[in-house]
Amino acid sequence: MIAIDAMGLSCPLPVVRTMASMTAHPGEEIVIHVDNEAAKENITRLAHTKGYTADIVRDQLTYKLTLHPAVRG
Amino acid sequence: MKRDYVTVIGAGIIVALAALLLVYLGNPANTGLCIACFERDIAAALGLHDFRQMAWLRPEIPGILLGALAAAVATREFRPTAGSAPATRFLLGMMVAVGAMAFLGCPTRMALRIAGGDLNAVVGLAGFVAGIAIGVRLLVTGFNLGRASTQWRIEALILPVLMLALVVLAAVRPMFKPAGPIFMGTTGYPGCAGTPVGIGMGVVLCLAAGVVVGIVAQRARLCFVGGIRDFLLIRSGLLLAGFGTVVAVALTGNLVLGRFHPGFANQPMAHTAHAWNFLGMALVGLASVLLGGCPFRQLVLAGSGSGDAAVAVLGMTVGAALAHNCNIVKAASPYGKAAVVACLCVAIVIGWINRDRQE
Repeated sequence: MIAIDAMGLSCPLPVVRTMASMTAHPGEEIVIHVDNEAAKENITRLAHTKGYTADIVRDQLTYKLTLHPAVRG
Repeated sequence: MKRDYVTVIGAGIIVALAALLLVYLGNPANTGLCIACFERDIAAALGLHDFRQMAWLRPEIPGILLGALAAAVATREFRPTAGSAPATRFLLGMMVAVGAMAFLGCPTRMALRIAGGDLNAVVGLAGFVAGIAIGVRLLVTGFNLGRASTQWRIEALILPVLMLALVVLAAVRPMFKPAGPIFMGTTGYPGCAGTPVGIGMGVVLCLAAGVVVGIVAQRARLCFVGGIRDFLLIRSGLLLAGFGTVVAVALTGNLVLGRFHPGFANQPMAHTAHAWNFLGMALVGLASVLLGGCPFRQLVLAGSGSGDAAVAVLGMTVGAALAHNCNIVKAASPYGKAAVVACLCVAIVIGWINRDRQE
């Protein structure tokens, strides 16, 4: 599992870091912490276009996104 | 996915309609909304510089910020944060203003100028894309300005309160002393000679238009830099759809209203020095990527609780005033040309130095 702490980072750094992890570690689960809605939406959108599913847990004003790579058949 | 596009396109339509309405009410041609110009006019009204022709405490700016604040609070997205390289952000805000004053408009006005047939703005768009491409290059090589952290609520309410004070000043217009401030220009705002509404109604309507624009922009995350940046970075066309919608709707409106005049020469508040239109907007694009969004988005983020964005807004206002005081506007003087080139170099250096910061 790859963990990314993207709390407090300006747009679009959470997405840039997530994308870098997807490229560096294809097929691995990625967990990202962000602290704003826009970052959560952008990462979710990126995940879907890259074939990941996203589980999102909200804790007050922060989000934990767990991206699962598509199961390879 | 589809709902995202509906939100962004809907926001683009509302922003373009608001811009058309504001020109009808008295704002200058192709300038229904221009964040950089309006911050410049507010700075002039407060006596910070001497370009007083259009000096006016433009209520659209407080309106957008307060609309964004209302939307962020209503959706529980309001989050007071600050502390990500504020001095650097102030400087980047100033540099965005220098580029915008060289070109004569922020990205919002660039879109509206294109929609009015001003081909100089197409040259500006080419520079804008080039500047954003440099910024994207810096982003993928590890650029960041460090983390913002959670602050007390009061930190995020400072700029909204100052904006409310501007609205009160615009409505009351106290004569502090015979020679101002508050200064009022001679043209280019609702309530001046030849416009369909009086000054009081002008304040109300401009504020209301700003609030509506701020609400939809906050919901849609509308950003003129973000559109091109995200397309270059992750091939996402979402925010670009917002940009395209603003141009398309404003263009249609201009055609219907007979306000579309294609060409380079004699465009309203524009110049034909192609190199400086290109480089001015390249500077705006690059510095905005480093800030994390265009001037419009910085205003919305400031309303959503970002003290860092508030600092960028203040930097842009000061930068616009200095651009006029130092004869940088239109990059017509040697000082203007030197300022644009120097700011481009400094922005690249800032982008280069702030890479892979250890946390």
